[in-house]
Amino acid sequence: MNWNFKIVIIKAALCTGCCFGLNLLAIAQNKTDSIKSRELKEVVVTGKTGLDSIHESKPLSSMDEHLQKLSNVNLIKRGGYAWEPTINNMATERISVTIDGMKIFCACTDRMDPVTSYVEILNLDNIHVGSGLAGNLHSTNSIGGGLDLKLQKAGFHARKLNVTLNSAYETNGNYRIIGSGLAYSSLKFYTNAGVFYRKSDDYKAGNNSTVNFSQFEKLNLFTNFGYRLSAQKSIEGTVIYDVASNVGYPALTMDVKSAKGFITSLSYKQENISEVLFSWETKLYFNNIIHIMDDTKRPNVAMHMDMPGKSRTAGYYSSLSGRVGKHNFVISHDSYYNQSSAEMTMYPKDAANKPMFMYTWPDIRTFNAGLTLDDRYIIDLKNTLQLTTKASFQRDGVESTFGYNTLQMYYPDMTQYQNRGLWSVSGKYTHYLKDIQLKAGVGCGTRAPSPTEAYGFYLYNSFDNYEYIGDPQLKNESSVEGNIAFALTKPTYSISLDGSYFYFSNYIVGKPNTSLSTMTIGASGVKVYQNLNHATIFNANLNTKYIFLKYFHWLNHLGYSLGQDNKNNPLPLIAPFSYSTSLDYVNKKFSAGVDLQGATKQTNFSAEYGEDLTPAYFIVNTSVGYDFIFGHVAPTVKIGIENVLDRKYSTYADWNNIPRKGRNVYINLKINL
Amino acid sequence: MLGLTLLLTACNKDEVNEVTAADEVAGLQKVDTLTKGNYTFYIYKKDTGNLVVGYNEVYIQLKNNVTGKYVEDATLSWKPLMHMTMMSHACPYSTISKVADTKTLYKGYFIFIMASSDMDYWEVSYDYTSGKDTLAEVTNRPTVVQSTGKIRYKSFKGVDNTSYFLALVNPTSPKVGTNDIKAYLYKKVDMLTFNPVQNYTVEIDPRMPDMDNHTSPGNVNLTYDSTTGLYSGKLNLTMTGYWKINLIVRDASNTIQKGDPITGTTTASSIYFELEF
Repeated sequence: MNWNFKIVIIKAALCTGCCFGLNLLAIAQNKTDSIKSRELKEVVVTGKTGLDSIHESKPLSSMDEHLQKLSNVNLIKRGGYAWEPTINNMATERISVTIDGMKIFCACTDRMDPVTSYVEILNLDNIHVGSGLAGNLHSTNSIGGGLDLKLQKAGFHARKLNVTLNSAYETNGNYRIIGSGLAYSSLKFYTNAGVFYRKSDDYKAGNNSTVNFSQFEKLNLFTNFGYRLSAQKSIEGTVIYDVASNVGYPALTMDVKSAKGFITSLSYKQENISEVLFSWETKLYFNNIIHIMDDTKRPNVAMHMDMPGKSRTAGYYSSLSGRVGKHNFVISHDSYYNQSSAEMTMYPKDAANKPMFMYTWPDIRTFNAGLTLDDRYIIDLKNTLQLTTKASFQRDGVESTFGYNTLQMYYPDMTQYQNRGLWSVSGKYTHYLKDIQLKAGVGCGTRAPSPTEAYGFYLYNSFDNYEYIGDPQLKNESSVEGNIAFALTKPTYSISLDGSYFYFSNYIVGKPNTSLSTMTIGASGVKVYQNLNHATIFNANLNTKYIFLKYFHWLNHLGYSLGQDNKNNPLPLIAPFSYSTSLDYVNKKFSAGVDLQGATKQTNFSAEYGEDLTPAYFIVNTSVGYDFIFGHVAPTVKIGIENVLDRKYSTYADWNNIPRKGRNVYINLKINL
Repeated sequence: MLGLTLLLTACNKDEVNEVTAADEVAGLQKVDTLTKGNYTFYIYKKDTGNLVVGYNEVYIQLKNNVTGKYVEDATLSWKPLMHMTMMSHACPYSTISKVADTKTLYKGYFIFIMASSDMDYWEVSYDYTSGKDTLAEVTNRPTVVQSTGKIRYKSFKGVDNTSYFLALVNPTSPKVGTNDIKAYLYKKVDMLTFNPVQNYTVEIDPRMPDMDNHTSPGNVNLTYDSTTGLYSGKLNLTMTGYWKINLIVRDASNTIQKGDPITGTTTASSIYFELEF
């Protein structure tokens, strides 16, 4: 342990050295005297009270639809519900998704239940998107970035009660949404509560073609509360219970009977402790996810299987923030313990034979404890330097003897548990020059293999038709990252350009092992996770905004990404060139908009991972909205048509090319009581 | 005080170490009780009270009904014989030896090569030789031998025209993971003589017919162990359920005597064992 930390510190020192060099260079090149303090968009505000509903064309859209609008975020879609978010074209194993800093890990081996599926968008205040290594102070193993879902907090204010009623209907899929939110604040006590229910039948792709098994149903109960013990001390708590049931996954061979999440936390917070220390928050949390797959509704099932999975996490963090001179610092310690276990029972066609049983996640245990230091050094009004470093210790392994015996057949000299040292260092320099903001960042860090990559056993991937086996002896994957951003903001227009480049060493990916035998009937082969010598991912975005004739907003976005492995072959699930343009009219209570979204042909697809050429597409959406006022009641109505031209299309991120929604007419109603 | 404690400990130890004849067969299942003259043979097996086709590990206790004591220094022998309408034959079987670290327990094995029926029956004679009682032959006739549901024994004619008898000894209760696999291989010399075969190789290819003939990695073929007389190897099973252990028997010069490699078209060998758990 001590030894690990020494190495971490030495490496950290080396990395910061190189960051400093680059930053100094950047400072030297950008000398002007203008002052502007404007952050590049990293926080995107969504949700109910935190949301300016007049600017949201579809406030009751799903979590997934909201996430899709975030910069650097894409979603891998396997059905109508629970899409898997990616940041910088990196998915679950390379990013972290937390809820108010709480770590939660999905319980499904087939990624049917990303963490984002266990919350309701209307309970969120905002979503913090962190790109790259410095993404999230509480995150671990996240070299691609982090999403932190910030729950609503009414806060300690003057006594106020706010109740909202929400309802929506969408024609496509007969999608019904109903829910209510409550926020009560006082100086001593606050609480938020919400009940939301969503239900959709199968949706229709363009040309009126029904996508079978795309239905879902979701109930979410949420409460947050705070109690002020004294002027500076308070306790806060959260309880979320989320149940999704009868969720179809048209892209997969089976559906989900139920996905239940119980998420809870209790925290103690001290604020304005001294001149130096601003706040100190310590949070204890626990969550329990139970996920049960279901193939009983599918026709022609070759073999019926039961595939339940569970994931339980207990953890805590203690985070201290303050300021010494020009240094704004955060010191945070976090640790968690996760149990991920999934099993498979297969029932042979010949009922005389006994059912076949195995662990696909053999009761995997992960303990991780880390220390984060973050310093935002405001050099002067024009220059800011932020340094973030994290070192953590991880012990992971398989608790199940059954599972250990299984993996030992493949790795005879593996140990049941193993220790890993993980670290990351990143620096970001920001320079303000009149209306221009320049950012340059460098970072390097490592991640441990995910439970699937280390210990997964015969996990069938319907995308490339291979079964995947983990390797407990994988090396940590490491990444060196560089990013740069430029933004020009004028009263009537703005332009921003950003780019990031990741160079991975020991990049973890599955490669075929022809000596291993398949299990799933019809599978092409078995892939084993291994460390590739290197891989790279490059992302670039251009955003422009133009405001004209006072009420018109014209927004454009262009995005480009490239991912390559060590032989310059394309990595899978990398976005092709994409574009969007939107024109909105926003005049006090009335809003209207039309937008066009599309992507070019995906030519850099990875046939090795089951991708094929995704044709170019574009779709058109429109919406109108109005805020009414009837006495004390203020309903907001939003009406819109998505995919107006009823195009049948799928994007690069659609698992097995399942088509996206065709024309959809929606109406959202929100009433503030 | 210390002395007293030691004394007490010593006493306790003695009591614990007192193993009775009943203790030595604890957990075993009784197959038969055969009495002749002053002696009674008690026949046991480990998991089941039935003799079956294939390998049977058999435990014996011998009681002197006059003294009421179990014989601790017996020299035992046995002889199996199958009576059929037209002929009779024996089967592969071992000598009987004392079970290590016991006073009253003896063991040996039979590999019954067919089941008994109403017409055809097995007869096993148990002999006891000692100083005074020179012979105390007890014949169990008929001895019932049942067929097993899953195949754990296979007889076949090799390309050398010899009749071979291959019986699975282990695993008796398979587990997911690596199992020790052990088997006996005998050949027929004449109707009453079956000899162990040495230095052959038994290749294994475990398959799950229900799972598209899925197999496991890292299996180790069975080779001859001259100290135990067993063929032993490593068998890997990736999940519970029904497994077909396909076999190829090669002689000392590596010639296939029996069995077929699994290919795209050949999904099972002509000889195999079955395991289900």
